[in-house]
Amino acid sequence: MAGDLVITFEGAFEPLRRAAYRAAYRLLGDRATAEDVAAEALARAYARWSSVADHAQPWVIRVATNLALDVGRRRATASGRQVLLVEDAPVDQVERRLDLQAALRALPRRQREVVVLRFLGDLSEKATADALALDVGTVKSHAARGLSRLRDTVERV
Amino acid sequence: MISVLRDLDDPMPLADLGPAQRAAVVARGEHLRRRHRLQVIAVPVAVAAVVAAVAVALAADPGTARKDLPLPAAPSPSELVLGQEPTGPVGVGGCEDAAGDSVGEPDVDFFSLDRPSAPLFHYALVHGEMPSSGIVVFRIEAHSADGTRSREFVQRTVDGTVVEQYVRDPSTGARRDVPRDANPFGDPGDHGVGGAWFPPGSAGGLGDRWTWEASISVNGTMVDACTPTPAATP
Repeated sequence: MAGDLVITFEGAFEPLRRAAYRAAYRLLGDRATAEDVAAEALARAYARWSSVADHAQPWVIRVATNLALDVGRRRATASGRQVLLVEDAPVDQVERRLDLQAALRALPRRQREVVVLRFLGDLSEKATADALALDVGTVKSHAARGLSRLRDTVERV
Repeated sequence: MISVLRDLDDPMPLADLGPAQRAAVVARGEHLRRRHRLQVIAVPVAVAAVVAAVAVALAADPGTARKDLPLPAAPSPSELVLGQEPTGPVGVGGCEDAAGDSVGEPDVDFFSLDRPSAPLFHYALVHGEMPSSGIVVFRIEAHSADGTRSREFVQRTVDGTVVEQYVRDPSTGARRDVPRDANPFGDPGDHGVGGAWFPPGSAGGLGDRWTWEASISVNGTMVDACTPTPAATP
């Protein structure tokens, strides 16, 4: 049983890690931290693999996103917006990431879940609907409303 | 918008982890799993110890026992009878809470009671850190329009791990336990999200104009609560 668990997790490891990394990097723009976030998300998935395995990708994306938002919040709390500006990234991208983090936190819960899976995780509408136990039409509706609210803050930069 | 997000992608390809780094991730996962197992064992033992201590104290000095102490050996509650699922509450599925209004950690920023299909869905998104230790209870109390019938939807976590979840009729004590496997989000301590499916008919008998309110308590103290209004409907 334990062997099967490890083999299954091992087989999914790199695709899940890439999905977690992509979501975290989009929010943080920091390779090292995004890799740490992805590794932590994978470790948490491993710890409860038997209940996570059948919806591992959305689960890992959500965990990575929440971890990344926590990192961003702690950074902002500790040092303000300047903390990311010292990193080797274009200023407009840094600002966009900070605005994206703030905008995601401000979204209503369901809209945020949909936006995270659809646009940070690049899941299809069907996969997002399955992950959240919603109809595809509901996903479209939440995605449209969520994007509309995000555009106001993210694309103005 | 999507192109804007893709502009934020790492232009460098992500290399696969080497065996040692991958082993480190697995080792961390094993550590987390062992911790969860210990909690699953330790919590019932701790509860039993507290109950035994209370029973001993009551037996030793029953005259000074306070009325509000828990009974040392409560009878097993009867199983809640599920009814016809009502169609309400009308237009109210979510409750956005004001950030920063909590009297302690954690601060909840959203509760919802959704029914995409038959089962009820109890959900809480935590803004801030979950307590690393202690008992956290997410609770939704639903009431019929005339206030005569109620249901409690409860999820209890210890040190971030869900230890029980159930729906209960407070007037009779009848309850129905929900398997922890019914929690679609894992443990709230992992990523600030918690939720549970409840069986169809859990809100049976409340009528179509029932209302609900949500709260979170930490170690017996309510730290945050939220009552939905039509304006808060997502």
